[in-house]
This record gives sequence, C-alpha cells and structure tokens, in this order.
Amino acid sequence: MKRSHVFLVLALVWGLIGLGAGPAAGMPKGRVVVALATDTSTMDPHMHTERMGIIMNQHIFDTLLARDTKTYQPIAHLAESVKSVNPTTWELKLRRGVKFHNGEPFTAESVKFSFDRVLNPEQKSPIRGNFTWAKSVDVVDDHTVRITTHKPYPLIHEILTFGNFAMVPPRYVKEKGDAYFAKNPVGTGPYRFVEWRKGERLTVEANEQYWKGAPAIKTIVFRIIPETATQIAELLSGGVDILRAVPPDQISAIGTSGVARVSATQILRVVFLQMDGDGRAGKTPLSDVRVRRAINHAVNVDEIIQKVLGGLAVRTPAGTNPMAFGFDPAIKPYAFDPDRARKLLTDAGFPNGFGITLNTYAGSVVNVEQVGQAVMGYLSRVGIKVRPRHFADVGQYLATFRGSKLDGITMHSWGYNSVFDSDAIYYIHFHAGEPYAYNTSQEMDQWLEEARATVDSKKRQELYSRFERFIVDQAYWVPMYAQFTIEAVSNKLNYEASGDEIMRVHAATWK
Amino acid sequence: MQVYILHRLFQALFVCLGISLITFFLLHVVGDPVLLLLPQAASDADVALLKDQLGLDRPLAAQYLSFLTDALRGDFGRSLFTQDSAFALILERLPATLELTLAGMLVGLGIAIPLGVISAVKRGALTDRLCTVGAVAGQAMPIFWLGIMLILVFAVKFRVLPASGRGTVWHLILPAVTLGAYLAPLTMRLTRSGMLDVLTQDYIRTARAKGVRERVVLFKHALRNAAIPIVTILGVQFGRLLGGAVVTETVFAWPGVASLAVKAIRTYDYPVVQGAVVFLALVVVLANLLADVAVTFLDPRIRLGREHG
Amino acid sequence: MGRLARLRFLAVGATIVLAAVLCAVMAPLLAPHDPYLPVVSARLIPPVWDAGGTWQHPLGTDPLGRDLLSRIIYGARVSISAGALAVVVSMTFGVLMGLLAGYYGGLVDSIIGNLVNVILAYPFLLLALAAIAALGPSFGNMIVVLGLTGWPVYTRVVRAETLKVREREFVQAARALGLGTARIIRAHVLPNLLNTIIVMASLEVARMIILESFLSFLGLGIQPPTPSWGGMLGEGRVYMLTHWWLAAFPGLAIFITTLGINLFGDGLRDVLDPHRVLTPAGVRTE
Repeated sequence: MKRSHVFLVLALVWGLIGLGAGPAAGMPKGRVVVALATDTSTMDPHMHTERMGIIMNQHIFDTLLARDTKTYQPIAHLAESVKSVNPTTWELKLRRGVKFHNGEPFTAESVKFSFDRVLNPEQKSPIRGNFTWAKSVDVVDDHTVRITTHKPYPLIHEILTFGNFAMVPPRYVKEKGDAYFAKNPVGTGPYRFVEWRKGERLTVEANEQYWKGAPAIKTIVFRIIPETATQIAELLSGGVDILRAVPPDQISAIGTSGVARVSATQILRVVFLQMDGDGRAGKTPLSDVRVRRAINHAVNVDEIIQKVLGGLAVRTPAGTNPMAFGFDPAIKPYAFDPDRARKLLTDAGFPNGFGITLNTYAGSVVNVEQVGQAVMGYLSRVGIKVRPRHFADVGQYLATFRGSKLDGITMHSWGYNSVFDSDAIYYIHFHAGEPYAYNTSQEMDQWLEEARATVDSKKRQELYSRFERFIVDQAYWVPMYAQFTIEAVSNKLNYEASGDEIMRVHAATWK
Repeated sequence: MQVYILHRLFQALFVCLGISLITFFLLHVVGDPVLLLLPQAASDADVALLKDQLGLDRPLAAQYLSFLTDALRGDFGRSLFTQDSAFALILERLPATLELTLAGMLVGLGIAIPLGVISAVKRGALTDRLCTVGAVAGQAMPIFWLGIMLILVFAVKFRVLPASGRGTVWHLILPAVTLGAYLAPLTMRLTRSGMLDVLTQDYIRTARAKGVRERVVLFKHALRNAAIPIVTILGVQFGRLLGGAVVTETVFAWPGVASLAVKAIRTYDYPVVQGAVVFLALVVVLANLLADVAVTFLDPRIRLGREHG
Repeated sequence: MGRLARLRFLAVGATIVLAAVLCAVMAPLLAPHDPYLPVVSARLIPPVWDAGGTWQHPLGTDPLGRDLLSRIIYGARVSISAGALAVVVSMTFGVLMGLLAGYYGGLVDSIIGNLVNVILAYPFLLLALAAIAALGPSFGNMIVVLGLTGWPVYTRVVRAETLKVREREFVQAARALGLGTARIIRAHVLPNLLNTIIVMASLEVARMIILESFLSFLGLGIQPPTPSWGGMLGEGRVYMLTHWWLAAFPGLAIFITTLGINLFGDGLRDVLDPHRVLTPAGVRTE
C-alpha cells in the first residue's frame, strides 16, 4: 500500500513540474548518431526481449509508467495514476489528448488491446510470462482502465515501466497485421519511425506533437557497429555521438580526446559466481559448505573492481544490488583471505585442491574474459584447478543453464529484468523448480513465496534480510559487484547514461 | 570455342552442385540445427515440432533435394530470428559487398599490375628487389591489422576520411585500400612471373631482334600474352577477395553479405549462413567462368578450338 | 635477381624460421613468466622503454597482467604448430588425391578434379566459418578446417606430375612386370615431386599462420586463454588507441615469422626447384 502512496505523490509532483516546462523549447534540430553493437530482430516491442530493441523502441513508443532517472522510482507517463481499489484491483487514469503517430487517439481501448495482445497465448509474445499476474483488463471509460490480478501483486508499478510493454495502436496493428507492424512501427513516443535497414541503421525523426513537448534533436540514427575498436574510432573522428559499453580501459582515451567524454553510472546488473550446491549438474566438492566458503575467501573481489574495472563497480555483499528493494546494508562480505581458504579446503578433505569447471558467457559482463581469468588466477592460488568453459552465444548458455547441464562454478550476471526488486533476482535463482536454481531449500522457498505475496514493504524488507543472511552464510554464491554502464558522449550534447541501461537519447539536448 | 565454353559451363554447374552439397552436409550432418536451436531441457515434443517445422524429420536425401529445388527458386528459408527471407536479406546486402570487392579489386590491380610489369622488365634491379620484398612483406601482414591502422591514421588522427559504414564514395576508400592490399602482393608476384615467362619466349626475342621498339614489345606483345594468366588468376583471386571481405566488412562495419554471414554464424541462424555461403560461392563460380570465357578470347590457341590445360 | 641475393634471402629466412621454431620448442625455458597466470595487480604495464615500463616485463603486460613476451613465446608454439599441422593435413590429403587422380585417371580423375574446382571456388573464409559453425571452435577443428581448404594446391601439382610419369616407358615396363601401384608411386613418382612439395608446403605454412590469425580474430579460432598470435592480436585490437603494445607485438611476431617463412620458401625454390615458375594456388601448372 505504502508504495502506491509514495508513487501518487511523485506523480503529482511530476505533474506540477511537467506543466511548466517541456524538455526543450523551440524546434528540434540537428542529427545525433548512436552506435550499438548489435541490431534487434523486430520493431514490435511485444515480440522480443532484446536490450537494443528496448532502447530503439522507447524512442518510438511510450509505456504506461516511466522511471525517474534520478530516483529510479516509477513515475506517471501514459498513465497519470495507478491506484489500488482493493488488493487485487488497480485503477489506471490515462493521459488525455495523446495521439499515435498515425493520428489514432490513445485511449483505454489501446491499453486493453496492448494487454490482451501480450497475454494472448496465440500471439506467442516472449514477455507474456511477465504479465500472467493480470487476470483481466476492463475499460471503464475512454481514459480509465481497471486491472484485476489473480493474487495481490506488489510489483505492478515496476512492471508497468517495463520497456517492452509499450502501448501499441489497435486499429493500425489490426489493419496492417503483425508482420507489417514489425517493420513499420507506430507509437505515441517522442520520435516517429523513418527507416530501418536491418543490421545497418535505424533512423527516427522528432515527433513535434509529442505530448511532453517536441524533443531537441531532429533526427536520431542508431548505427550498428559490431567492433568496439571501430566504434571508438568513429566517436573520436566525430562520426558517432554516443556509444554504449565502453571498455573501462578505454576511458582515458576518450577522456583526453577533447571531442567526447565518458558518462558512467551504476546499473542493476550484478555479477556473481553461482555454485552448483545442489549438485544439479552432477556431484562436485561444491556440495560442501566449507568448500563454498573457501572459494568466497579465495577471490579478491575488491582487486578485480579496482584493477580490472577501473573502480567502476560497487561491491554487493549478498548479491543484492544496492539500488534494488531488499538490499540490507548491514550484511558484510567474506574477507579476502587465501590462508583461511586453504584451511577450509583442508578441513573439507581437499588439502591439494580439486579440479572444477568455470563457466563464462559473452555479452553482459564487462571485461568478461579478464574477470574470468582473474578468478581462475585466485582459485589456482588456493589449489583449485579451473577448467574454463566459455559460451560465445547467450542463447546456448541459458539453454545449458536451464537444462541442468551447467556444472561447477558459473560466472553469471543478472539484470533484474529491469525490475528494481529482490524478487526479480532471488526467486528465479533459489526457488525449487525454477530454471536457474542450482541451490534450493524449503526455508528459502517459503521466504521467497511469502515476500512475493506481501504488499507491506517493511515486512518484505525483513523477509529479504533474513534470506540474504542465509545465502551468505551458506555461501551459495560468491557475490561480486554491481556493474556500471559506461557510455561515451560527444561534447556537443547534454546527455547522461542511465542506471536502468535504457539510453534516453530523446531526452538529450544540444549544448 | 563454343565447345570449350559449354564444357566450362557444365563444369561450373557441377561445382555449384558440389558447393551446395558441402554446405548442406556441414550444416545438417556435422552440426545438428535442432540441438543448437532448442534449450537442452526441451521436451521430445518440442524437438519433434521444430524438426517438423524445419522439415528435418525427412530422410537426408529428400532434405537435400528440397533444399536444392528451393535454392533454385531463390528460397533459402527464413532467418530463425527475424523471420525474414534469407534470400531477401542476402540480396539486400549484395550491392554493398559487390561494391567493396570491385573497388578492392581495382585498388589491388592498380597497384599490382604496374609493379609486376616493372619488376619483370627491370628484373634484378633495385626496383625489382624492393617490389619483391614489399610483396613478401605485404603477404605477411594480417589485413585486419592494416584496416584498424588505416582507421587510426586517416579517421582518428587526420580526420580526413570516415572511420566506418557505407554511404558516400569517401566511405569506400579505406575498406577498398585494405582489401586491395590483401589482393595486391600475390597478384603482383603472379604478374611478374607471368611477364617473365612471356619475355623469354621466342617471339619476343624475335620481335626484339627485328628492332621493334621496346615499348611496343612490352605493351603489344608481352602484356597481352601475360594478360592470359592474369585474367585466370583474377577469377580465382575473386574467391580470396570475398574471404578478405569477411574481415574487412567486420572491421569497417560495412553492411555486406560477408558480415551478415559472420553474424549469422555467431547466432546459429543457419538458413542465413547456408544462403550467404552458397550465394557467395556462386558469385565466385560466376567470376571464374567469366574469367575463363575472357581467356578464350585472349588466347588464340583456345579460340582455334584446341583444349588446353 | 642475382643468385647471391637470393641465397642471402634464404639465409635470412632460414634464420628467422629457426629462431621461431626454437622459441616454440623451448618456450618453457625461454619464457620469463607463466603465460597463463593472471596477475591482476600488474595489468597493462607498458614495454620497458616506455614510461612506467620495467625489465621484469620487457614487452609489457596484457589486460590480465600476464607477461606479453612470455605469451608471444608460447604463442609461437600454438601458431607455428597450427600452421605446420594444417599443412601436414592438407599436404597428405592433397598428395594422396593427386596420386589417385593422376594414376587412375578416368572417373576417379574427373571426380577429384571437380572436387578441387569446388574447393577452389568456395571462398576459404566462408567455408571455414561454415565448418566451424557446425563443429564449434577448437584447436583440432581449426586444423581440420584449414587442412581441408588447403589441399587442392598439392593435388593439382601431383596429378600433373603423376600423369607425366605414368606415361613414361619405364613405369609402363614396371607395371608390365607386375610391380604394385604403391611401389611404383614410391619409387618413381614421389621422388620427382619431393622438392616441389617441400617448397609449396613451406610457403603454405605462412599462409596458414595468417589464416589462423583471421579465424582467431573473428573469435572462431583458438580460444582463450591459450595464447596464439592471431588471438592476441584480436584481443589487442580494442586497445590500439590506449595500449599499442598489445596488438603491435603479436602483429610483429606474425609479420616477421611469415616473412621469414616466405623468404625461406622462395629461396628454397631457387635451390631445389629452379625451373618451376611461381604458380598461383593451383591455377596453372603447365
């Protein structure tokens, strides 16, 4: 309950500020080029879960709620308010006078259509699982919608900011069909779609009638440049204005170039070593809690943060991101202590260490190879011989993970599905029967289920604190750190990287 | 001559068949697309469904036959991720690759042929030695390294050329030079040896003895005859050129077929891999065929209907 | 070019090749540090002559704090053995195919001849990419892939030579006497070809080392943490602006070694096989 009150106040404050000043005065002008390493597979926001797709989509589409870029709290967007009527019913008041780029008005029908489209099993939307809490969506009047949930659902505000859950135009989608929509998107967002040359570039142009006021930049081009070296060269030669995922070691080159600067901020993604404590992929010494504790003592996380990541990471003692709900600042991490690690291994019956697999995967972890190698180095110093196994393809990695085949230690990372809450990381990794759970117990199941159905935030915090203490004591993970997103920006622009890893180029302005 | 061309045409068809067979074999027999595409926890029903969708439950020969007949109709299947027709994706990117390879070839030949001729004529002189050493050195240089160096110098340091992408003719310069540098060393050496071969022939000696001017000897007699091996080489080099394009397109974010194939391989999008590889190989076969036909016009022995080789 | 100059090239080439092979063989003795052990506190130290460099790491360290010199020395092992093994595979297969085609002629010859055409038409890197996509990247797979794309060169040469020898009277006579095929080939065909094959193979090693670097650059060759020159160059490319030594030294290693092999091979040709003009990869062998 408390959460929604806070939210209402924020919405009100935002409304007041919003009335006065639009983000930019005057006509949009100029062109900004953004470099991305990969393209997305479709422009239809409901039909993918790709980060690059979300980034592109939210320039063309709007979600019901948005996220405040400073507090990361949900704020009003296409929905002006989300009020609880009773524990399983929510009422949404929608913004008036909003139009899709094709002239179609945005109404309660659009919201119901978008919900129904995602929930329809025939549609095969990959984000359907995130919305199955919703039982039904009913139109009250043109600008009011009621959502009924199966059970009390405390995370509704969080999930309504979800980048993929954008509002789509019912008439347009029905008339043109999904295949056409996937290539010719129409939304209510700050930019209109112009052209998409798959694997090469997406061009969008300012929507001057945008309900928040016209954006400052006339044209945004998202260019696909797979090579990091080429991306940086483009930035320094002025061909690209913003780029994502700058390797920490390149920060100095950009900082001293005189044409661009680095904008880095902490993000939700946390990196940790998950150990197969249950022996789900086969029995290993990791079933012994002493071995898991030894590994926790053996890895020098602080040195990795300082040396490999240039200080751009925040230690997470239990695994919880400090930005997420459920973080308990009282929990302390294991101390780096190789001698103690060796002693624990001796106690567990492995005085000469043992051999174990270390899985890593490409894509999400900054400097993944270097961090993985560093971990191997630390483990080898206490006698644990690591067999590296690297997955170049995320899909294959996750399939192996879900398929109970990921043995030994896994350098995993989790982006919370952009939900700033502990439920988004712990349920899927610790609840029995979940695809990524390699450490389970009855008491953890109980706490997780209780937290998921509790709306009172104080009680939820207590549940998560207890849970975190338990997993630290049992040393299921080696919790490492929360990552930073490191972006580079041309000196011509006012733009900052955002902690939810969504690039809001539409909010950028010229200097 | 017609018999010869027909013979070559027939041979080219056989080569095409072989290429499709190898590609098919690699992707369907050596690698199992279903295993690559489905999570390991997938149920047997999921596997059966996907196999049915992709037509993988039929006998291999039947699969190959339908792959072949579909390919003939320009249907390489659909991308597993974007659902686009693989053939459409390839066609969309073909102009970029052709533009790059042709420009690369022009640059490569522009460097290689004059230098090859000069060093053959001045055999043993300093120029020849420098050219030979240069060619050996050029062959020893990985082109992606050269590509990145060119970007650093001309785009980052002097800011005179764009670093990557396709658009204006300026965008073409660095990739074309990179690719040309890949082609040039071997072509230069082959030109040189072809030229040397011709220069020692009797008719050249005769022409010289008759007092024909050196320039006329070189350009009218020698180069014309040396053109035969050079053109043949070009056909074969086209295959190398497309190989070089794989790396060049990646470094310069050039939106061509080769970089499409590399990306598809990384994501196990096998209809696209299959389509791109077969299609590019066919381009090479075509280039070889054209080179052979060109040679028949250049070479009087073949024109008279005699088989060679 | 004068014979003396050629011999000088041969000597330079031979010295380089010898040095590289020595590095490869004696890597554990020569390398000052463990090439695999990451030392996070010693990351990205520049070469000794740069500000901040130390004699401890003459060529500096990589992003994991591993000694670059040691990795290059061990890399010689991987890159040279990859190149050499790939050549052994392609040479063996190619020579065998050439002998079969030349000796039996007829249908065997035309099948092999067409197969050669297929492989020559297939853009090498794409064939390699398709094969690695199917097999998965590893050292063994890379050798197989490189080997299977390199054999037609030998086949063409061997086939032509075998055809020539087969028609000679003494071979006809030997056949009439009932000597086995294998024996005839061993006694009469192979010795004639040995020099040519040695020259070709030595030049091919250089080409294979470059191709290995292509594959590793695209992430489809030798997988980390195993040091290969191509892989190191690939890893270092991101650092070209900030830490030049990471790409420069492995690049230099590839360059010098392949240069040496090429000089050596060219020189060897002059000595062993002076009458044969340079032929492009199997284009014309007349």
